[in-house]
Amino acid sequence: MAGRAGLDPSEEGKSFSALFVLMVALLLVVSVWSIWDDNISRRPWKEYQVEFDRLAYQKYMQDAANEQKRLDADPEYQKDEKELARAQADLASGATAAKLADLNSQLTALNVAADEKDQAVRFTKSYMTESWYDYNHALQEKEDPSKYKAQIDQLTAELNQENLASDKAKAEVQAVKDQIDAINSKVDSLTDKLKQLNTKRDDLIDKADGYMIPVKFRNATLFSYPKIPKIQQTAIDDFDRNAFDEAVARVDRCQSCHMGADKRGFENAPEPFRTHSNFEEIILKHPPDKFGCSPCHEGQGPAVSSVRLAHGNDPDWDSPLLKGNMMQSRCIKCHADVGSLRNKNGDQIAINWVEGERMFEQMGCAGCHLVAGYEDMPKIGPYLKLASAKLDPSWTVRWITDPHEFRPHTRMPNFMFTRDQAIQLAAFLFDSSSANAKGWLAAHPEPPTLEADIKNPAFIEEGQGLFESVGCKACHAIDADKFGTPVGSAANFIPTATRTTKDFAPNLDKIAEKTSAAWVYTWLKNPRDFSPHTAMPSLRLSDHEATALTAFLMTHGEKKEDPGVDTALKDPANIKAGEALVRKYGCFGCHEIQGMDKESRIGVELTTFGSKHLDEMFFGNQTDIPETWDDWTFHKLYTPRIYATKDVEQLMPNFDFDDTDINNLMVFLASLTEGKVVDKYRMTANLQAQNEIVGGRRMVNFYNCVGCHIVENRGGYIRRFYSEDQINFAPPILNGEGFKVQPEWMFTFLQGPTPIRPWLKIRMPTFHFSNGEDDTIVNYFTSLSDISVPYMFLNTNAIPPEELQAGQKLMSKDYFNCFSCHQQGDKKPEGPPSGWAPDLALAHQRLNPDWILKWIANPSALQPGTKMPSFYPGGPDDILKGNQDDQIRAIRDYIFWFGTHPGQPLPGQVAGAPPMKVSSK
Amino acid sequence: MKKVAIAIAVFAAAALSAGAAPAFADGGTISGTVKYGGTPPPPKKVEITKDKDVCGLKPHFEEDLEVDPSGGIANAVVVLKDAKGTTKPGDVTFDQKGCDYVPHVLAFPAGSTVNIVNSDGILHNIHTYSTKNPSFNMAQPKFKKVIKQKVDQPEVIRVTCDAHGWMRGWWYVTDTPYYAVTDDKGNYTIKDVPPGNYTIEVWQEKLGTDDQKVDVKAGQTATSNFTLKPKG
Repeated sequence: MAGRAGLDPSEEGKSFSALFVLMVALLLVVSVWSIWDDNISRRPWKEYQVEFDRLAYQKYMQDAANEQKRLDADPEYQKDEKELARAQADLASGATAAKLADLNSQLTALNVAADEKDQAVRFTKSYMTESWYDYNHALQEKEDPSKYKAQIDQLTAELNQENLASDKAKAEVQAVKDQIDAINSKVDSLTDKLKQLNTKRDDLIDKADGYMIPVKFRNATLFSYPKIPKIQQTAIDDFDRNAFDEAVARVDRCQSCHMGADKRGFENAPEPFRTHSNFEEIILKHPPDKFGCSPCHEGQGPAVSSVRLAHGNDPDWDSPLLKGNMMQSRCIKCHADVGSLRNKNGDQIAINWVEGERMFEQMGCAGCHLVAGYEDMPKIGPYLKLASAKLDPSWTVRWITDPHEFRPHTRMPNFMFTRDQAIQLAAFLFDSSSANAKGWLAAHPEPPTLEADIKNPAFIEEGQGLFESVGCKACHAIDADKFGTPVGSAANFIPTATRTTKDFAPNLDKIAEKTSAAWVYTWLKNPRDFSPHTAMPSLRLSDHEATALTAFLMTHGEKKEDPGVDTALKDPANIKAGEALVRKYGCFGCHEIQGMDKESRIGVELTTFGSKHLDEMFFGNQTDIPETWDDWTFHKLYTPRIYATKDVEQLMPNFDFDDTDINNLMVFLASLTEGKVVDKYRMTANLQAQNEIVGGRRMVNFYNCVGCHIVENRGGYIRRFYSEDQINFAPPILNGEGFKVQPEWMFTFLQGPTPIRPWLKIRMPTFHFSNGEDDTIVNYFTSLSDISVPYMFLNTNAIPPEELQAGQKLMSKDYFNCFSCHQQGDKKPEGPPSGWAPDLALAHQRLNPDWILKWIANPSALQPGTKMPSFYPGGPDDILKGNQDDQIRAIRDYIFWFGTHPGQPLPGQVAGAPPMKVSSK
Repeated sequence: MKKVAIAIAVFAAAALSAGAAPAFADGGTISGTVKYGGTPPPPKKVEITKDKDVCGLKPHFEEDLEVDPSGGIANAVVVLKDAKGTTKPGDVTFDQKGCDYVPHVLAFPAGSTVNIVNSDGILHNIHTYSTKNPSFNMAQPKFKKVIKQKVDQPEVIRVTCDAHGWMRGWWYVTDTPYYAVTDDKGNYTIKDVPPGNYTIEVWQEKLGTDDQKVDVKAGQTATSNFTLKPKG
């Protein structure tokens, strides 16, 4: 019979076992694969952890072995170990062993005996309780208690006996125990001592055991097996903001692989296990369990499935891992004063950021690009509202065409103008400034004898001497390919002309080609008379000195007239075209130009440039530049118009930057990011001081204080012109100046410098600081020195006379002979000025009394290499009982006293009489 | 007990003096002269500008190159570079006398202690310029007769007095026991040198260094003369 329609009855008999087996096998494979994939393929960090655990285990075991080696080499340890072995052997054999065994068996017997005696006592006590009960009961029942009384008496007697016996037995036990302890004592004390000596080794072994779990048998490790890997994660609360601007946590799992980063001792381990660099400053001050990793490193913190994703190298992730010094761009998120972050060697941790920022300031980037926080930067270029009173027309045209042609190291970038454009620009500059120039020239007539004087060889020679000595060379060079102060990374070494090094101030090599003697003379007399905001200070030159210096400068270069330029500059069409060019290229970003005061910056705002997405960056026709933020920015700075196309014009000029400077600028630009960090992660403790330092540093950069002075361990470029013997004639080092001098004094000094070291030829110039600028500098120095209460007052009338006498005696010729080198009012020291030291009569107005104490105690500690020798330790014993602190204070107080009481005898002294004897008793 | 202590002290002293005696009984001697390979410069007088009552008692001359009429250079240091031998540090004296350093060049083995003496009784300061040893700048006022300073690392150290600019001396700290400073005539002698072939080097503050080979034989005197040429 046929089956149901369409069904073949023979199907029943068919075997599906092959298919079944196949399916089961497939299921098995898929199950195994899914478990494998879930636990192994997508958990690459597990392998790293196992590897690190093994590495750490080996390291600590190795350390333990080294420690063991050290112990083995230690004679004391060896001795103790030998003694212990000997003592242990003693115990285990021979007479001592027999005695110990005997004592032990005695002890057992005595213990039994003592227990028995003790038990007897306790039994008797029980009987006693019973008898007392019977006795009291009898009393209550009004029966005769005498029988019980007798019992109690008898038991009391027995108990006394038994107590004695028990005590005796206990004493016997103790005696034997003491004997045993005495025999063991040597072993015990040695064991304790060795345990102490072994502490470090044992700790290391414990530490190692924390990485690989040991299986032990009788104290010996049979084998160790790896721990089960675990995700290591840190949640950084409130670090990010979500789309609704609410604070959300950020999760970092970096330490799942980078396991050695927060541990010392893995400095030489391979990545990803290496100890973090600058450990003290980065890890100890920013514990990863609070700050995580990605706030500085970026990358995709929570990702663990692959190295690529964890490092954020994915088109969909906005902030890939920062590499190399690019990390320095993150410090500014929490630290207002990045420049003061130093490692234990005193090196700036974010040096590339610091230099990038300085480059940004000094190359005038903020003139064209708006950046929050840098809106009010002074214009870095020369003042052009009086251009026609200063410049030679032919030179101006050549200069605009290619500034690097005339001065290879100028900061002025090359706009790649054609000669026609240059003529147009010059025409506008001359025309727009002509009215101002007329007035200015009328007010500053050329000295009648100037033309003749500057040809006088005596003047030229004197001018050269002045140029060499008054301080011009701090900022300016006068030979091609020499430098005063270099800008950018080149400032870290004294450059031998590299093509891309930039000058802070113009090289005066061909100055006579550019301008006239009359202008140079007036400029030297007072630069601010011509340019109200110039960084060039006045050196307070006399008319004679200014003439001499002008004469010397005008021997450098000569006028080169281009025919036709004068006429072309007067052409109204050129003037009009020039004005349009000025507006288009934004010349007013760096220069003050007549009629252009209200123009706004022509460049793109860069406030959040570091957060720019790739799709916002225009690569033009450049297909071989990799599409990353770093590559776009590098090439933009290297060849600013590289992304221009036929339709997209680009205006940024060529600065001819060095690769290092570009990298530093990139670090700075990368730090211009969106998003604020909440206060709990920010360094807010001394925010005011930090801001004061930042403001002051900006001024120091603008006015180039570091041309002469070493400030924050940087600069002092002029010092290289002084030989070692003459270094005392160089401008003072200003590290720690905020602690050294009184703020009021510094303020007054900066307003109108008065010589502290009159023997110096170099002059502290007058910068004509405004009150605000002067305050900024004073606050900068006091903040750098961490002086929160700026000045300790000292009433010189309240100093005890004995102290003044002691101070006077200490400073006298027979003792420290301070005036051998120091000036005292009008009294100059003997010998040549190279050995002189500042006037101590002025110290009371100038120096911080606290600083003097530290200075006298150890001058080299405050200023390494100073000529001031240390007098301590080793003061005389016969003054103030030889007490160093008292002597130093007496000197300080006497210095303040004679400064405030000029020409007066000490209290209790008659004028002219020899100093009183100071008793040491 | 006391006797024992004295005996030990005597023994120790004997042992010490034995140590200072020739390390090589059959050692050789090197001697020679360091000469100037140019016209001897005339002595240049130094003007005394300060503390004339002490410093001005005798005339001062520049000491950076002192050449005697026969051409011998004083105060040059001669050192055997590659000789093995243990140095014996001890106490050496560096005096400030009449505002000059005596001796002008002091050579001594590393680890020695310099007794810096102030014979002048005026304020001097000892300012050293060194790289391997810590530099120091210590005042030595009238009442401080002696300052002791241990110098551990071999190097050439310049010593100046900032109170008297003309004062300039040198400490030549050696790493070998075989060294000598030339006398006024430029002569030197190094004794008790174990036999062998060595490089011998001369150092002079202004003329720099020069070296040559020297073969030392037991019980004999090897001669090693130098001629230093003016620089430049």
